[in-house]
Amino acid sequence: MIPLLLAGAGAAATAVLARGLFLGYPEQAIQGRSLGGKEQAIVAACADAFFPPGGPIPISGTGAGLVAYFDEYVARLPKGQAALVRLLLWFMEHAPWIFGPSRTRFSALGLDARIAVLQRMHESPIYFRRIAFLSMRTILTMGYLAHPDVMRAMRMVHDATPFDKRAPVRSAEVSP
Amino acid sequence: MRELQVVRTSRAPDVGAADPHAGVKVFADYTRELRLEADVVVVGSGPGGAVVAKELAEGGLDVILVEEGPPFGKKDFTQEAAASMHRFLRESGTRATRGNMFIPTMQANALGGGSLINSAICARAPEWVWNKWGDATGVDLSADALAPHFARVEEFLFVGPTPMDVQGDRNLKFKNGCDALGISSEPTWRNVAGCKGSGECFTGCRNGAKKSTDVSYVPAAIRAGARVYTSLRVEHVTTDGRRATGVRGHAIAPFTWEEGPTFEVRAKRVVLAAGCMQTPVILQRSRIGEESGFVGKELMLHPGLAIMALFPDVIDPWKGATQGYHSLHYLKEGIKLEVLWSPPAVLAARLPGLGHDYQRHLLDYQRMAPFDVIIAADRSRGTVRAKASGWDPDLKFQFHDDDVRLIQRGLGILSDICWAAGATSILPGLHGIPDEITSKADAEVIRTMKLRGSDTITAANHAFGSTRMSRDPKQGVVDDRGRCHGFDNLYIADTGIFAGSPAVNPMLTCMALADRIALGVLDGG
Repeated sequence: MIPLLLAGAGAAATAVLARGLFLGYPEQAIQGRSLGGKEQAIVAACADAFFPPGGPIPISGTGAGLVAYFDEYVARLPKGQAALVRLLLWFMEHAPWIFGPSRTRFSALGLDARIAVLQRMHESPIYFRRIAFLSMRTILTMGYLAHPDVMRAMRMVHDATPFDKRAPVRSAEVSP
Repeated sequence: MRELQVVRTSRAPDVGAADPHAGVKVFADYTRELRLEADVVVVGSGPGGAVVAKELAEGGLDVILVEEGPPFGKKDFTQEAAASMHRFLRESGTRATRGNMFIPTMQANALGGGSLINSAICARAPEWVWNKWGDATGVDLSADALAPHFARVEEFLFVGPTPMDVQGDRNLKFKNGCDALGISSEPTWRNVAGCKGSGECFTGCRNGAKKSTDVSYVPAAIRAGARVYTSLRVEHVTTDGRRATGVRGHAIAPFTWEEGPTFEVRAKRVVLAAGCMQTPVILQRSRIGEESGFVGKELMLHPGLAIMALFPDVIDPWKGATQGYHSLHYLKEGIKLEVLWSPPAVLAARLPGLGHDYQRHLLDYQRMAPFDVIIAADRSRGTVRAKASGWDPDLKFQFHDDDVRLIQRGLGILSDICWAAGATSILPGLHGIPDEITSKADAEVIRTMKLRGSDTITAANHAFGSTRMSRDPKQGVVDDRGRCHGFDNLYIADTGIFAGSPAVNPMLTCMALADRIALGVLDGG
């Protein structure tokens, strides 16, 4: 009887674990070139944690098209580098499982909890965790700052001739 | 030795509206196996190879210049960071050394090599560098001996100081900070004519102002009769005893890296200038230079770290010459201070905060200026090895504790410059201390903290030394004329031949040495 109970408990735990780790993802967001539906969900969860909606820059990470951007980014990489970036996604996804604070995958956490996970990664004493954080933030920031609405909010311009429209620098601006 | 006629040296051709790459072969031209012959085959069209190709062609030799990357024009330059890196950089810009930390490092894959996407800084290695190189490997070089070569390159490339009217506030803040502290500084000298201050050097100059080798030395080489083949990856040097007989490899499709037809160039002389991260791979795969034990060893970098200064007023950091000002005040200590710029999104990734706080810092970006320190890192070393498969190098680098302390000293000085320039806070970007520091007194922690390399976000795009020159064949790969020890006609003309740090940005030193190597070849050396 006891072995049967243990086996049942084990099966139930495995099912919960499997659901926690591998099931319950949303539908594929875009018809991408490289990322599957689960990977897209991870990117979306990261994108909105880095760039939440309703903030000082109103457009969110997903609103800025970061899922499609990330998909295209991976598609253009050489195979080896693409594999590493995908590995980065799965590391992000299961970082809460490995390092805490809760045994829930990243994309299943609420926004505040996701931001808290990112904060722990950023401040981690483990170098690899900080590198993973920085790598993810770099890719997503490149995409976010490529969006015209974000650029406009930041007053960032790509002007090939920025000084043609104003007088040359005044001598007073240059200390002798 | 051929007498140098500096005053007669021509300047880079004014290509105007003409196509500077007319006649350059591209991947689509290679429909079947390619077999070529020439007096000289030069591998790599960056600062080293392009100089050699032009000088040898003008010297009357039949030259073939082979480049793995494709040619690019203004229409190809995009300001979106990832797209630009994918287009112009090997491994799409994701390359990093491994060792006691990861250090991102870039290598271009384009006609013109690194000169297409660097910030065009041209600084002569100071005299004491040659003494250090001599002490290290016995090579006999001097500032006097190199001066005519520096001068020829500088004249050809219109090298001069960055004009004040395109500096922009980002650069001027640095100058003002240095001035306030009594630290000497100066406009950077660059191979640029007619700079508009777009700050886009790293993604390609849309104004055509930068005299990268693809629009200067390469067209001059073509004009002198050189044949230029792009999208050809040299994989092996072929040899017969003490003589190199040519090179062979594959055509490579741009951006997809698919292999096309094979090619072979047979030549009386072979010059490798594929860069200090690729030339060792070619040599290792060709089993050349193994006797010395130095092929791919002694890799050196200039590790660099940045501080972001936040000012009370808008300075629009995206306006102004890419790196228009620097300070050589502490150069003899191994410290160079400068203004930094790159695609804005790359620098933004290190701004502090998360969520809405990160977005707030992004909004403050218009009030920020990044300043950086690079160091000579004389104690740190790395290796370049061919991987078991593929043609990208495996790079290792150990950032020595003494060099970490040196860069920490540089950061402390940079911090002082920020405050003196009027910063209201700084973003040091170091693990273990606050992300944002709001007073000079609090910033002393940058000097006093126990800093490890892994606490920093270090990058290094100056790389050299992996096929270093030496008097003794057992101490290096080439002699001080760039000729491989043990070979009569095989040369290397990239930064790999440096016997140590040049203390400053390496491009001009590489080009001066390449000029010297080319003239040596013409003299039968």
